[in-house]
Amino acid sequence: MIEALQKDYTTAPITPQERVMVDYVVKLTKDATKVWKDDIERLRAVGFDDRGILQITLIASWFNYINRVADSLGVGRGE
Amino acid sequence: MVYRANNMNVLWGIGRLAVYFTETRDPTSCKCGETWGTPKKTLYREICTMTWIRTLSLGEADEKLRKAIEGEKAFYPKEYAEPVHPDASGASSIVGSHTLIPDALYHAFATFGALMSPDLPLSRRQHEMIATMVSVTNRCVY
Repeated sequence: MIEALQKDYTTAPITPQERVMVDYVVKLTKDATKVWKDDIERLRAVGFDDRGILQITLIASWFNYINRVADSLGVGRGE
Repeated sequence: MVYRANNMNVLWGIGRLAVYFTETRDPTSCKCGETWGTPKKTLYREICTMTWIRTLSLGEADEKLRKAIEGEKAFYPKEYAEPVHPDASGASSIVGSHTLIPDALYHAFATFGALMSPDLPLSRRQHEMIATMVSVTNRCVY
């Protein structure tokens, strides 16, 4: 599943609910200013409550933070 | 120094799962004395984990730093407790990168631990999907 996500998440064997979640995560990561209220409504429509939406947002944001720290300080990159 | 990362059961790897499956590097690409290049499809990869700034090992840590590290660990679900990318002290190298500012270390990683709580709505599968997609989208090398 993870390998399929990396290759092309649009064809990965995930549920429709997971697909909406991943679409949101990718959009947030690429440019959070492009996220709009209808994205939140899509998450609600597939069954996420507001606590779940907050958790998705915070986990995605936390990994964006840690990716930037790791890349900027050379964690795993060598000299 | 070479570290071996098992990507299957420890959270520090979840943002990197996809990379472990597919990425190999030219062994000469790392000039810090570590080596790269475990073949694909082994589920393992040897990686360079040094940072470009000074970090403190547990042996060098004062009480404030030790408390910060122990405190943030307390938030982790049990299955996420062991680091995939340990530094020289055995701690996670990404945690190590924060050691010069113990308060930031504590709050950053305690937040992470809190977000992984099984009491929250998302499943571990969903945690892993989010982490993977963020790291893949960012092309993060860690």
